[in-house]
Amino acid sequence: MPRLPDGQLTFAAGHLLAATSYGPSPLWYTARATGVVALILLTIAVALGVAGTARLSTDLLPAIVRSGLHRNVSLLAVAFIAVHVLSSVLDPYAGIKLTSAVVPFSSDYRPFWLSLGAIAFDMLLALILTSLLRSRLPYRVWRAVHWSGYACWPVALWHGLGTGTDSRLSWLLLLEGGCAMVVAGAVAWRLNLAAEDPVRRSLVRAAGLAGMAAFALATVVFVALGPLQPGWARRAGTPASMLGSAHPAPAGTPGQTGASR
Amino acid sequence: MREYVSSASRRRDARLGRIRKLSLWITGGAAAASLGMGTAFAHAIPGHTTTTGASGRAASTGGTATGGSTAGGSAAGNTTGNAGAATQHDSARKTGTRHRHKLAPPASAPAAAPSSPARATPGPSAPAAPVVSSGGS
Repeated sequence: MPRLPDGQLTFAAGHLLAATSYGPSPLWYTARATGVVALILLTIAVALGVAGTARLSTDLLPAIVRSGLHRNVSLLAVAFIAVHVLSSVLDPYAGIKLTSAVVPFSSDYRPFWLSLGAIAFDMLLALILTSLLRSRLPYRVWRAVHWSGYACWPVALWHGLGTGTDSRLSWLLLLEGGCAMVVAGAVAWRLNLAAEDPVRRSLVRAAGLAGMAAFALATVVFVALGPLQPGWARRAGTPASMLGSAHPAPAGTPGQTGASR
Repeated sequence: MREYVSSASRRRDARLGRIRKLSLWITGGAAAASLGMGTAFAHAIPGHTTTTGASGRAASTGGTATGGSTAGGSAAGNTTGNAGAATQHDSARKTGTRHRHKLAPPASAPAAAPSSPARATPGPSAPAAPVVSSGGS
């Protein structure tokens, strides 16, 4: 391995130090980035889980590899959520407490939207714990808890859309839309495997598709009328003291910080 | 029989190895994506530590990155407001070394230095000091 001269090492170390110490709170951006990556990982975990239910097995992705990946990706999502929570808690700006990560409605900062994140995190923890203890639990219990995974994903999405101060970024909206399409496709696939009886299957499929369409419509309307509109920070429940401490400015007007938008 | 077991064992090891390899790739990809997104957010969104003002253009665009803006450009766009609102977080870090932001002009002229025989300051009628074009950074 080639060694860098000391001068270059010092230069690189200086750049690294500058990158980590300079700028508007690296913790704030870490929280955002890890949250988005956790949503992507959850999407992959959902898709792999549905593929497992369908007993998909190919040469490239044998069943054992698929199930191992499903487990590892889910655990990785939890790890990213842990970093997301820790960076949010360590950043003193919003004053989010560690308990707010698991106890809904215990935060002053955007209480409802932060609570959605806490609920999704609780669901995911229950999913992971019951899966790790699967051999010691009745199958029905594990299965019932595992079904909550389908609720966990949309709750996490709405948490990101409502709490995230970055919901106006077009590439982020596209990314979230792509994740939504992957999950919708996986759920539609899962609905096809729902029941043996054709009549019951078509009923379940119709109900599931109607539910998905309603959720998609509600999400689009919510994004259009909520985060994309000026003044969302105030409506989302950001404390007034954070909307402009020195010279308060109306929410959604020029001059706001990224956190208060 | 032994060969069959050995073959099955080899196949299982290969698949477990593939799980490990794919998991490592996904982990690496997720970490890289996280870093990339953090950087993208830092460029696109001013963040809560920036001093914002009436001229904070990037903030007024709703968080979208302005065309061709760099990190410095974006940050400078948010920090040029003289009468801007500094957040609580910012005030704690304001004394740090944030040299790339434009400095606001002073509110008042500096007080005249006391004249003394030892340190005579040049008056308004004194010739201006020669412009030095080197030695600075």
